[in-house]
Amino acid sequence: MLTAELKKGSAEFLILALLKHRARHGYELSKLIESRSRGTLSFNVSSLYPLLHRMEERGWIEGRWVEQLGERRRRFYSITRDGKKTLATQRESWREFVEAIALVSRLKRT
Amino acid sequence: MTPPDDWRAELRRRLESIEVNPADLEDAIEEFAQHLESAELDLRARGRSATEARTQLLSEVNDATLRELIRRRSGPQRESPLAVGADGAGHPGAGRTADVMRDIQFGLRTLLRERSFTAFVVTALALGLGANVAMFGVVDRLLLRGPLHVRDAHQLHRVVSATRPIDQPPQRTAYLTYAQYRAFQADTTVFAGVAAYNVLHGTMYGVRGNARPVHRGSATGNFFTLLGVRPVLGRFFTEREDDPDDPQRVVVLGYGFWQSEFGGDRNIVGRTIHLDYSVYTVIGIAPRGFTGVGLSRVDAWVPESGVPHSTNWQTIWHWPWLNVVVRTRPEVSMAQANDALTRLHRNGYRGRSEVDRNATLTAEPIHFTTAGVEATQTRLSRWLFGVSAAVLLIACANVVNLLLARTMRRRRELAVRLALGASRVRIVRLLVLEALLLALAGGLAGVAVAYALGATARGLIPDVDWSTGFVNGRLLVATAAFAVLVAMLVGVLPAMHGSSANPGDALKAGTRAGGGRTAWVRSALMVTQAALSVVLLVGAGLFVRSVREAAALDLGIATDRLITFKLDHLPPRIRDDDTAAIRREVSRRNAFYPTVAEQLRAWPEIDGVSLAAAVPFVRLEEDRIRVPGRDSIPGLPGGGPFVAAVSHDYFRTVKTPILRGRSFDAGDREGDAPVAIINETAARTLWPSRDALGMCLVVADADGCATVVGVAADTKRRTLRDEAAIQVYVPREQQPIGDDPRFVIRARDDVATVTAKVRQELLRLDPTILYVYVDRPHEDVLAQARPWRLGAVIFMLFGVLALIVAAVGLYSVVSYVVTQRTREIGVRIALGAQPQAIMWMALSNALALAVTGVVIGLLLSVTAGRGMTPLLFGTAPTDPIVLAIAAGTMVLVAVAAAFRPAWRARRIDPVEALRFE
Repeated sequence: MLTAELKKGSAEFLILALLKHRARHGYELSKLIESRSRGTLSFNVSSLYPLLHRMEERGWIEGRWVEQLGERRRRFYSITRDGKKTLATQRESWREFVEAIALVSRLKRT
Repeated sequence: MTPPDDWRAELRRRLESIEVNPADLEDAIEEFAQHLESAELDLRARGRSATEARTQLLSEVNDATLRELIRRRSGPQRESPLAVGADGAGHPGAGRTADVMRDIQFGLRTLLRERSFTAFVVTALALGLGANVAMFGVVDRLLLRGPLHVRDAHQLHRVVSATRPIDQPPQRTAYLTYAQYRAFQADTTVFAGVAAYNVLHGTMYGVRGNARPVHRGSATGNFFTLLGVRPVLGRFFTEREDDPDDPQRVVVLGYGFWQSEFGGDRNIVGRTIHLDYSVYTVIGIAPRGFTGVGLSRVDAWVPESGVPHSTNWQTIWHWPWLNVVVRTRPEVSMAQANDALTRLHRNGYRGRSEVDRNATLTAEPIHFTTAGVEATQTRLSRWLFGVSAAVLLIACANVVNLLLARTMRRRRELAVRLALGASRVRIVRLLVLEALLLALAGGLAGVAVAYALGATARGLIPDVDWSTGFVNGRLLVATAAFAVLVAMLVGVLPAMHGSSANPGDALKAGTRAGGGRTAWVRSALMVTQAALSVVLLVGAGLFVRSVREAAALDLGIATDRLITFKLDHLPPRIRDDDTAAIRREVSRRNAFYPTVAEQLRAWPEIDGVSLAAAVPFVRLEEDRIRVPGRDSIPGLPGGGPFVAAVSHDYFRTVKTPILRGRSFDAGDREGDAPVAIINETAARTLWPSRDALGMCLVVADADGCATVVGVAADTKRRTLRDEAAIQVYVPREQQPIGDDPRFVIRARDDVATVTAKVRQELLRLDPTILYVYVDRPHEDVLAQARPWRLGAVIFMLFGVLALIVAAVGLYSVVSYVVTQRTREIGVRIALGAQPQAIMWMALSNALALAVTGVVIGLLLSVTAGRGMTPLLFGTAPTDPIVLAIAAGTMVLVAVAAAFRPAWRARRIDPVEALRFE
C-alpha cells in the first residue's frame, strides 16, 4: 500500500493523464485509476471528490454538468490549459524520479 | 435491482441540513448518487449480494468529508438564497433588497453555467429587440416625431390640391401658387396661421470654379413664427424683410452648413455669402436638425420675396411652386379646414383654367410629400415596423419555448426548493428575475444590432436629414420598455408553470412528465413561428422581385454613365439697346455648344456627346403638336405630348433604339426640309392604321410640316412607373425648342472623374460661364428603386433571422419530444419497429407543425399582400413563385432542423431506453 502523500501525488498525475484526451465523470475516473494501477490505487466517494475539488481549485481540471439527450445529466471533468502544463512538468519529474529509483535500486543490486 | 433513487434519498437524508445553495446540494447529491449507483452495479456484477454491496458502499460514505466538500464547492459566500428560512427570517438584518440581490447573483450564476442556452436566448432577443429599435428609429423620424423644433406639429398641415383634368387621371400636388397662399390668409377663424415655403436642391453656393449646389429653402416671413422655432444664433427673417415690394437679401444658415462651411464661427452674423450669384447677408443660424416641415436637409433659408421670380409671381394662378402649411385652430375639425381651403381657393381664383378653378383643397398630414401623398419609404417603414414586431414576436415565442422546456427540466429542482420551504413567490421572483436578466443582456446587445441595422436603413433613405442622431433618448426609452415588456412576456408564462409544480408529484415523476397543456402551448408557438417566418420570406421575395423587375425594366435609354451639363452664364455687360452686340453674344453662345461638343467627342474617356434641351429624368419639355386633318390629339395617361430638340447623335449617346426609319444625321440642318422622329406610342396613337414614316406632323409653333423619318423606342421620362405618352424629337438645328441645350455625355471611364474634367474644361473655355449644373439621370433612377431595395434588404434580413430562430426552435422541440418519448420509442424498437418508421415518427411531428405554419403563413401573406401592392414594382403580392419558394424554404428548413434529433431517435438502444429513468 502506498503512503497517503504518494497516493495523492500519483493520483493527481493519473487523473490529469486520464483527462488529457477526453472528459470523464467521477466514477469512470475511479474505475480507470483502479485498473491502471492494478488495484494499488483505489478511491471511493469520500476520497475521490475532495481530490477532484482540490484539483479544480488549483485550476487544473474543470467539472461541468453535461445534459445529453437520452441520458441523465452527468458531471464531467475535463483538463484545463494549466492542467496540461502541470501534466507535462509532472510527467518529466516522474520520469526522472523513476529513472533515479531504477538507477538506485540497480546500483544496490549489483 | 436497487431503485436508483434510493441512493439519492440516502444522501439527501445524510446531507440535507447543510446550509448551502440547494442547487449546489442537489448537484452534489446527484453526482455522488450516480457514482454509488454505478459502483453498486459493478460490485454486484462481481458477484456480491445487494446487501453486501450496499454495506460496503455505505461504509465508504463519510458524511463529514462530504459535507465539508459540499460547503467548499458551494463557494466562500455560502449563501443559500432559497433554502429553509432564507426568506429573510433566517438572516437578521437581511432585507428584501438583500434577498433580491442574492437572487440576482444566483440567477446570473445559473445563466452563466448554461452557456449555450443563455447565448441563444440573448442572441434571439438581441436580434428581435435590435430590429425593433432600429425600425422604431426610422418610423419615429419619418412618421412619429415629425420635423424637429416644430411646436405642436399635429396642428400643422400641408395643403394639397386635387384636380381632375379632362382625359387624364386625377392629379394631386402640394405645389400651390403665391396667390393661393394669400387667399388662405383671408381666413383667421379656421386657421391660426398660414405660411409658404419651397426647398430647392440645386441652388448654387459660391461662384464659378468653387460653386457647388446646396439645398436652399425660401419661406414667407411668418414661416418660423408659425412653426414656433427659435434660432441658435442671431434671428430669423420677418415679414418686413419678406415684403414683395422691398425684399431684403438676408439668409439664415442651416446648423450643419454653418458647422461644415464656417466651422461654427459665432461671428458669422453680418457676413455675406453668394447664392445663385446674389449676395445675401447672414442674420442667424437655425437650430440643429431644423429642416422646416420636410425631412431633407436645408443649408440656407432666404425670404420668398428675395429670390429671383418672374415679374407677376404674386398674382399668377397657373404656375405653382410653393408649399403651403396651415396651423388649424384646436377646435376646428379637418372637414371644416378642408371646406375652408377649397372655398377660399375657389372664391379667390382669378385664373382661366376651369380644371384648376374646381380643384379640391385639403389639409393633409405634414409628413406627406410634395406630391401630396405619403412617401413610399414612409408607408414602407410602417410595414417594416410591423415586420420587426413580428420578428420580436418570433424571438419571444422561441425564448418562451426554451424557458418552458427549461422549466420542465428544472421541475425537480424547483420542487426540491418548494419542499425545502422556499415560497412560491420567491420562486416566481427568481424565474422572472432570470428572464429580466436575459432581457437586459438581450437589450444591451440589441442596441448594437440597432446601430448596425439603423445604419443600413438610413443608408437606404438618404434624402432624410439624420444629423440629429439616430439613437436618442426616445429610442433608449423604447428599448428599455421593449426589454421589460419582453421579460414579462417570456418570464411570466414559464414562471407560472414552474411555480405550480407540486413538490410531491414532481419529485416522483422524472423529467419525463410533460403535461398536455404545455405541449399544446409549445405546438402553437411553433406553428406561429413557422407562419411568421413564411410571411417574412414572402415579403422578402416580393421586394427582391420588385428590385429585379426594376433593374430589368427597359427604360428606353441607358442611364448609367450618362452625365448632363447645363450652363449658366454671367449677365453680359452689354447695353440693352446695343442690338448688334446682343446678336453677337447670342451667336457666340450658339456656336459655343456644337464646337465644344466636337472637342469633347475627341476625348478618349468619353463615349458619346450630344446636345439636348430635354433629357429623360433631367428635364422635360411639353408642347403642342398637330396632325393635319385631325381635330385633336388624344390625351394619354402618361401626359404630354413631350417634345425634345436634340442634336443628331442624341440617339446614339443615350442609346434609345431607332426601331424604324432613320436617326437624325448631320444633314438635318436649318433651312433643310424639317424632319421629326416620334416614339412608338406616338406612331400608334397618331396613325393607328398606317405607317407613320413619311407622315406630316406640325411641332410647336412651326409654320409647316415636319416629315416623320424615324420611330424610336418608348422611354421612361420621370419615374419607373411612367405610363406611355407621345414623345416627339426634332433636330435642334431646325427647331431649338426649349431652353439652352444641355451637354449629354456618356462616360467611358469613372463618371466622377469625367464629370470633374468636363466641368473644368467648360469653365476654362468660356470665362462668362458662372455655373455648371451637373445631373446624373442614373442617380434618380437608383433613388427611385431605393424603397424596394430597402424592403428587400430588411425583409430578407428579418426573414432569414426568423427562419434561423424557427429552425432552432423546431430542433429543440423535436429533441425534447424525442427525449420525452425515449421509453416509448425503446419499446417500439424492442417490439421490432423499423428505424425508418421511428425516424419518420419524429420527423412527421416537426413537419406537421411546419406545414400548418406554412399554410397559415401563406394565407396571412395573401391577405396582407393586398395592402402591399402599391409598394411593389411589377410584382403581384400573390406571385406564385415567391409563395412557393417561401413555403418550400420553410419546409426544408423544418426537415433539416428536425433531422438530427430524429436520426438520434432511430438509434435509441431499447435496453437503455427501458432503464432510462
